[in-house]
Amino acid sequence: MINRLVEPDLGEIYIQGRLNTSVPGPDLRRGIGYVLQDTGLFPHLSVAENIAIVPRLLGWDKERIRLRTFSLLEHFGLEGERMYREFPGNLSGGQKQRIGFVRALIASPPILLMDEPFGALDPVTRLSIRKDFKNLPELQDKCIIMVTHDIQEAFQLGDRIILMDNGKIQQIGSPIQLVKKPSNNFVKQFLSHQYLFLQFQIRSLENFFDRFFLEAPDGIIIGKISSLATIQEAFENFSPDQDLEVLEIRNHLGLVRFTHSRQLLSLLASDLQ
Amino acid sequence: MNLSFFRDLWDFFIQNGKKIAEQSLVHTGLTFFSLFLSILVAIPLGIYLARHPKWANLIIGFTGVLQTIPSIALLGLMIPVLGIGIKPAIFSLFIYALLPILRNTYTGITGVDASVKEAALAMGMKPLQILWRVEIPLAMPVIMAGIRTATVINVGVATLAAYIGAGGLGEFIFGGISLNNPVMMVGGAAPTAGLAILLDFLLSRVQNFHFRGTASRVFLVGILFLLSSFYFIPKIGETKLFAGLTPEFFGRKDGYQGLQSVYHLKMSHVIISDAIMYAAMRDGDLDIVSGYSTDGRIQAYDLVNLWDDKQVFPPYQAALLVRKGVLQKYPELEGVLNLLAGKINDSLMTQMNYQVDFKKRNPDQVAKDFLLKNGLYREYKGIKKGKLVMGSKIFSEQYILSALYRYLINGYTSLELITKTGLGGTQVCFGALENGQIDFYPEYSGTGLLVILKPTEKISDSVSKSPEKLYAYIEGEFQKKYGLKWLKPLGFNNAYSLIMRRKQAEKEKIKSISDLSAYLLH
Repeated sequence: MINRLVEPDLGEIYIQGRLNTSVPGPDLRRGIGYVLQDTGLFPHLSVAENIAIVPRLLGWDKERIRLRTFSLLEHFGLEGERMYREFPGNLSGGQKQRIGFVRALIASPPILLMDEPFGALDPVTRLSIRKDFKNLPELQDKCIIMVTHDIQEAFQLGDRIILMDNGKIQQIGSPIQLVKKPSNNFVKQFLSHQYLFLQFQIRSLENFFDRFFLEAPDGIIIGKISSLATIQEAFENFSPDQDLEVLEIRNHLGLVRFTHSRQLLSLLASDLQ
Repeated sequence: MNLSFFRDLWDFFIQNGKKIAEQSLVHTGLTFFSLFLSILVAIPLGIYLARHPKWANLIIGFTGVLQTIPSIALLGLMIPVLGIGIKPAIFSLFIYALLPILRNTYTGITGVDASVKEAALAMGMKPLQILWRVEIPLAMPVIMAGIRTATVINVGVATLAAYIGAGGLGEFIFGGISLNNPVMMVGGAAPTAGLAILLDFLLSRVQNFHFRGTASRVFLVGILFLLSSFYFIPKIGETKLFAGLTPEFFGRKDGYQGLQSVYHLKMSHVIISDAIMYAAMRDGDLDIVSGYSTDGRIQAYDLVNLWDDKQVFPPYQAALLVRKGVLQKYPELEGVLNLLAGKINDSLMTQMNYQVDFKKRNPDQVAKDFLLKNGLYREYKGIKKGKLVMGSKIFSEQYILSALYRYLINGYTSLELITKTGLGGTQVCFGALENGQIDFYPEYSGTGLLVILKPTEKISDSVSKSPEKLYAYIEGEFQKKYGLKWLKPLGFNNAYSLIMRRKQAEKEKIKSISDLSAYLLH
């Protein structure tokens, strides 16, 4: 409805202050990135041609399209001329979905619509693409609307979550609001199944600073992690032989280690009681 | 088939190389021009139906019905509307190519993955851009498969174009069938098959080639146009009158070849099936046709036979050919069988043929009327003591003759006549007579000479000069060779004939073939 693939029966949608029906459909859509669950890549076009569709519609010159394509492909770990000329039929599911992201992002649309973009992928690929996606520098100034059935994914990626049931909005709010102040029984019930997991995703390292012993760096530091990172992210980055330097913007705060996992868990558990 | 067949075939290709090449071009032109029209109609229609699927079953079903119309019937149906020659041929081929292209376009376009179409729409493509850049390219392999099917069908059906004077390789095939000449048949069929295989192969290459950009599409359309245009190579030396010749007449020495050498007759002509040439004549699409002098349609369409003043066409006097054994066994028989001798002239026979072919009267009834009118009809009261079997070929005139003889034998003698009508052609009847399955059948003197006796050219030329001479010759030869007797001629001569519309012939004062030849030269 936002990019008018479906027209609303009732109501209006404003994008950056403008009614979305005030622009012709095709023009509107060229400014909105779109990622589909089953990629929707054109099988008769090469990777490069698939990616170049929107920029061509927008009239970019060839060199600009090429440079932008290469930098995005590189970010998603898909380098090389070979990939550039490949046809989608010869790619793996993960590669195709990465290309799907590149195609949606190529023209730097301010808005990105994603329809279960990670849904059809195996867990390993899903995690890795999600990471590449989250680490895109330009993501900060985009409005991203993602549909998902995976509540953890929603909590992990979303700033605002709209929980829907039977076509009706049950609650709109930040992950923390949803967990702490569920607006009705449905929301409460829905989230209760995965309560602990969700805590991992709404609490950040910062929440535990005051009760946490942070060691000074004692030699080799292998990874860096932001103080705003969630517990889940910290866990994902832990490994037995890896120390993580905790940073607040650029300032050093201390270290977390694999051996801290138990402390973090017990702190989290005591908070819940 | 033996080695000499292949040698003959080789000779045929050597001798007719130029003609085969020409007809192959005409054939290709016919195929592609109609294919081109079909593509122009079926692809947009297929796309439209993919957008409006509720009409799809109805329309595609309708083209399926068109497909089931037998080709000859469709060509025949077109004659009153489009005349003969190129137009009805192309129209029919167009009709036959519609279904495969339409169905495959529809299937191809509707088969494009929904998520791909959604992606195209979501990326801001306009409907026409989605069609050209996404749907058509993705449906192309299926559409091309349809075009290939249609091409192969058209190469095959285009052979039938020869029936309505549109030329093509079918001329050899149908000429070969009429002349009972297997070399000529294969000489036409082999290049046709080769053409189908070649075109299919070339299209398969086109299918695998990725077409990018406008230039290559324009190129493809250009090629299609070029192939279509083979048909329109201008035909030089058009004459004032336009003739339709049957493949048999065209191929025979005593047919068109004889007219060319004796009368120096030159006329623009097409090769056409005798089933439709009279109708084309009536409708004014043809001015002259080669037919048979007693054909009922001459009366029906107010046509006139031209006088063969230099006697190119050998006489084809009708007479009974009888086994001698029966005549000896039943002495009274010969007299009865000769009751009709000299009684039926050309115009009487034409009239009777007309009654059967056009008034749709029963041959029995027509025969009985004739006998009553001539006071020959009689009933026999006694008991039948024996049986005779009479054969006849498979056309109206022979059916009427067998009915006449049945009334005579049954009315005058103590014998009962059983008729075996519809015995195909000369070979079948003569074979049956030789091995005693039939006792007699009506035959024509010219056929007896050229089809059965097959003498040297010198002899046949000399004996064909007059009907009497010919009759005397075959009577003697049949007696000697086969022990068969020719009874007295019935009086009419069912020979080859050039036929014109009566009004036109009178207006231009054309009575004989010499008149015609002179008229065409000025």
